[in-house]
Amino acid sequence: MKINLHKSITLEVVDENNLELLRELRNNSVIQEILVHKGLVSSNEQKKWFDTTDKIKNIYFLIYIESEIQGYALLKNIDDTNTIGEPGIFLISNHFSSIGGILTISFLDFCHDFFGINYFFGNVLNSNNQALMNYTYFDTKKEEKENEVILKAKVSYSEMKNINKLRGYIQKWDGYNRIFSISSLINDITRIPSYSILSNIKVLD
Amino acid sequence: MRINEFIELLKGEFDFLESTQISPDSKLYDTFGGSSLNLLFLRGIIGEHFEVNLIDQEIKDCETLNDLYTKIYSHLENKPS
Repeated sequence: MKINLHKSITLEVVDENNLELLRELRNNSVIQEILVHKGLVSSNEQKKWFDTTDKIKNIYFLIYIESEIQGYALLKNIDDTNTIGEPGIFLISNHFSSIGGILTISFLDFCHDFFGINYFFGNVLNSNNQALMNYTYFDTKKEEKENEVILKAKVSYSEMKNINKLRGYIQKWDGYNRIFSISSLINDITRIPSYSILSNIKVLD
Repeated sequence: MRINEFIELLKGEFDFLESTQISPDSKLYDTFGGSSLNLLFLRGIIGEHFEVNLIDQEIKDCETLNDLYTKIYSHLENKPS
């Protein structure tokens, strides 16, 4: 299943057929640097992990920008009851760029509009300066864990600072309309959640 | 707008800069932490305050905040006062 977030930014849900691509990205040296749980993963380990993962509550996406694979995103530990999820974006190259910002905003919007997530939980290494900077758009706090400072935060999507301004800039420059086109329904995710904002979801089949 | 006023503008718009020592010579990439959201927001506030739409590469070509200030004014007819 593919999801068009905005113009040149497309997500592809990870399943058995593209699982190896996710593994290659996870083992990429740039991404290894920012992972909280480091370590290279073999094909067998990856398959075992995927077979035992709850694919309703933990969803992984390959990220394509201009049709080139650029990394992966995830939304894990989805808690429908409390509308909490843990999003992440992992890119194989430095994206100090508007497209990186558009990816971030549109992915968070998608997590909210499709999965009904109102609170994001974050777990970020102290050395991951780009992610820490992005978290300054939320009210967050730091805590120590295993001798390494990480950011742990439960943050409210609706209270993200300046998000409407950022959306407005993207809309003005690049026509961002917050409509997410989905290529097919939805065997991968198994459902459109009842709390989805259907006006923002366009199913193409 | 003078360069120091530009610095104050940035401090006013970016909360995390309030408690940070920045100057015209501060490195642009380091100041904004390489964050894509910061780049997006920076483009936006430059557009709002100066009616100048810089593209990514123009911003990334600026080594320092002073370079950025100069770049903005190179797009304006008005020279720095």
